Amino acid sequence: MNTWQGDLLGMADTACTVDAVFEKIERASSALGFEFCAYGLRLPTPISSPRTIMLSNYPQAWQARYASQGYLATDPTVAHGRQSQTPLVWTHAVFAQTPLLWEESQSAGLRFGWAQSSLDAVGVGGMLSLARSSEPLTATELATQEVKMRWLVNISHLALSRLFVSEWVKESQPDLTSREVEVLKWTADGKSSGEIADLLSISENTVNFHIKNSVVKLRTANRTAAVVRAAMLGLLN
Amino acid sequence: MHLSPDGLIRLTLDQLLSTSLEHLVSGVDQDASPPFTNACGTQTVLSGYTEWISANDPTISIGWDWHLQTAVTGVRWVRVGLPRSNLMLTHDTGHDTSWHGNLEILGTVVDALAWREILPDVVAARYA
Amino acid sequence: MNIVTGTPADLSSEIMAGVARYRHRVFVEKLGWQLRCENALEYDQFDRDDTVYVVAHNADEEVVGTARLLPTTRPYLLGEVFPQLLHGAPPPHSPDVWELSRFAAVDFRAQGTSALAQFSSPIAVGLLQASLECAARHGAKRFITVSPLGVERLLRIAGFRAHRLAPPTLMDGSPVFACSISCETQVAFDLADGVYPLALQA
Repeated sequence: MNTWQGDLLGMADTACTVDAVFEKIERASSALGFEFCAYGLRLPTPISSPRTIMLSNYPQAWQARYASQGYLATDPTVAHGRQSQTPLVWTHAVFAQTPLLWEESQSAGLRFGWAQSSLDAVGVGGMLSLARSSEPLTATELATQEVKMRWLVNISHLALSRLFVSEWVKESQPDLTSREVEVLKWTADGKSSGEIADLLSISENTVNFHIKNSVVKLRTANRTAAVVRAAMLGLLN
Repeated sequence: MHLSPDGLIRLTLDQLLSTSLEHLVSGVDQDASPPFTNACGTQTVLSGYTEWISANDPTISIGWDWHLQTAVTGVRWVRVGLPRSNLMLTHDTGHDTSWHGNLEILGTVVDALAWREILPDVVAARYA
Repeated sequence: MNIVTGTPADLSSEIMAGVARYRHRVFVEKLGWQLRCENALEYDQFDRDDTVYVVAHNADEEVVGTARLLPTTRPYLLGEVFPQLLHGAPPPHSPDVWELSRFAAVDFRAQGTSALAQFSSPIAVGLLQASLECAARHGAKRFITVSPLGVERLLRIAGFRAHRLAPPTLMDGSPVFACSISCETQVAFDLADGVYPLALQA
């Protein structure tokens, strides 16, 4: 398959650099009629400050402005993407609460756009935004194109999350012992240290010792956060 | 896009993504075996199948299994396994993709359909 | 389980009578199919001299499974009775394609669950594999069969290269479809201890 779809599919399997992947996404967006595209990937831990990686071909000045104004925190399309995986067309109404953001993106040439988020089984979220400076999106265009756009969202998520997640998982591996995992699982089930001590036939002090070590290894503040982080890293399966 | 003698419709990925697919029928699995139970305190999981078709001839038929996943953040409709269809995706050269590769690609296409948006109402209506 | 195959001339009249009785128990008594039968024996216009049967017996020589094979070069069930399941495509007419029908692997001594249990037991898989091999010996490259929709999922899980020939059609409220199964597939794994998936209501 030599079309842009085939290109992207190949990339989902083979190792590639982030830049190479984004370049293909850019080409695909262009083939779909959008001169601008942006991809945001959200890695959900640490929970106190989840990391968002942003890739885009938006005008540099706009990218700088977006960052300096902290628009990521107030962008209504991003907020929508956190709540729902249904696509969103940029309209005046969508940006009613953030008129400055709307005005500024219009001036930057990002006048008409569409965005959709994706969420996978390990909690990594992604969002693809497609935009252009002329020609509003019509219902007819969406009727013919939207499946391809939605497919681009999915395949981009697959390819990019694969690249970032493997790095993220490697640096996140806290190397818990099997006993520590066991204690965390029981804690996740709602058992107290005393109950876990009985279940495992060890002392309550020992249970607390395992919990304290887990908290440190998982780089969290307390046992509850440790349980949640371990679950999100897939360590309690 | 053409129907081959072996009963499969051969087409490229681009042709498939350009074809409008509609919901045909969906159903819920009965006779659920553990761990999908209704016991108090455990998660109730609903699972079933959904079938979609194209409007024109030759009629594309594609179906897959789904289940409902309950999580802290809410309920999600998740595809289970690879889809089943009467399609064989071909490269631009005309050659078939592999049996397994074809199904994996069909999986990515199916994930791009708006099935999660309509399935809750369809299932509720059928089993009301 | 031991399996014999052949036309009525190849198999003894006892075996043929056993098959007809077993088919009555499965299709008429258990599944409630509306078939015209006499003396609790089930057979129809597709049970001819050239029809090939695959019969599985247990150690006590009781029938525990049966299948019926017909070449598509002569009248067959899908072509004569259910052509609408092909949604306008012409029914196959080729020595490469045989039809599988009256497939059952119900062990009446075991506990039954849903009507589709007949398709998910080790007897079923063994019987299907034997049927594919038998048809292949007659020159078939693939089978076609009319089945409840849930069968396609079970065939896939059991490792067969099966795919629908057209969209499913609702018949008496349940989805039914025309299925193609390749003779060239080996059963992917040993199902002796298998855990079976959720059964789909037929």
